[in-house]
Amino acid sequence: MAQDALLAQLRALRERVAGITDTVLASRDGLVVTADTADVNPDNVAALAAASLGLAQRMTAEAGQGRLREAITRSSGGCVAIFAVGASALLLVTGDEGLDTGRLHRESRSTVEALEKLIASARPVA
Amino acid sequence: MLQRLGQVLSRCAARGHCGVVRVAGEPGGTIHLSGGGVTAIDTPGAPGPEVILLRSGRVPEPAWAAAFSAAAAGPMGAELVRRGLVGAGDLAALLRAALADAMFALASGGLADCVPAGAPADCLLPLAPPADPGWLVAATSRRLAAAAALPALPAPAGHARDRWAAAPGAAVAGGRGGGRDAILALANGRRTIRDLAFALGRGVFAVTLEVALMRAEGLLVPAARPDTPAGAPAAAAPVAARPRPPREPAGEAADGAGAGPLPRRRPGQGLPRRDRPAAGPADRAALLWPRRPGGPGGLGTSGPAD
Repeated sequence: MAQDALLAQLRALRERVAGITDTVLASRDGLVVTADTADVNPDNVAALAAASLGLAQRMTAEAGQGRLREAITRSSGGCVAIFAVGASALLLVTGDEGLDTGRLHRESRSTVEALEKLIASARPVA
Repeated sequence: MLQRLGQVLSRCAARGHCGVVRVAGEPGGTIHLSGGGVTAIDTPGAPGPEVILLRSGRVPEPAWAAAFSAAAAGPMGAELVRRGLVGAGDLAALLRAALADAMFALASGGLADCVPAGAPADCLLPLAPPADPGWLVAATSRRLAAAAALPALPAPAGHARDRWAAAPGAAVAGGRGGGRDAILALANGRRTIRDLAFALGRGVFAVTLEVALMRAEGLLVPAARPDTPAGAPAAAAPVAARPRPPREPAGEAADGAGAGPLPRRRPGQGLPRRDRPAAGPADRAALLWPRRPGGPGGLGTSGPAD
């Protein structure tokens, strides 16, 4: 089932990158599709992530800086990174203070591409 | 590989190298040097001094932020001491311990390559005077040997890979010393020893020893891998899809393109209510697709009726 495959991608990303604590795949309007979480409420962060990603893309456009790669919120206790997954979804990743965001940027590419393909393959046929 | 790293650091010490040594591997990291001595190590494999000071509660976050702002023109360490947040001797001991711990994390995880780079990099809390690389390598060798001798742990690299859970029936009743209560509370089957160290603001080596002892006493068990049938972490609880309001015209920015007005939240618009019937897994994936007449979907459309 596509749902299990989507969750497997989230778990695999957490296995590959030390410091990731939670991941959520959500629709662009903030509804959880699947989540691998323990420390955050997936509903809450999905809704916030949708708003954050929209604002970040708007800011990228306003600043004339090309295409948004990821939106990162950095705090004293860790960070939150949000990636666009195609046009219909987003990936939220939370991490502790030791999360290497450069490594996350590189490793997330394959995860985002895999998620896009899974979503495309699960698309209802007209 | 630790031997190779030791040789590289020895050559750096001999020529009084000022700069960094980039260590490739898992976790990898950056070793900062000044005059051939080691001043700091940045690695995602072990908590640094800032994490240790903040997470352990020794320095409150607002005090840290104030010191950080004030230290813009000078050393952060001196500012922390000046403000009485940490003693000079305590800070030096902490920096030295964090250095040794980071080296242990670098060495036990796997070193693929180590390359000196000339340009010094910013370092918030450098150890002064710098540590002798020979001392650091010798201390790391001893720690690696100690970790390898622990009977209750898998391979040393497991501290960044194997995840730990409280054993069934391990009562979190309190009263256990050595930070064991905190470890039991945090061991949720998802955290590695490295993750526990970050969450606690303690060294990876110290947590390694504690976890080994707790496992031997039956308080902790290795968590099954997520891809094994018995070890799958719980997926997100089913989320009730809230009926969505009609979309605002030009409400959301396209991917990377310019857009119209920002979306406005309507009065009463909030999070999905859990008292509504939950959407099953198949339905939830369909949230990603626009609804076609008579078909599933949720993006830009109304959700299930009450």
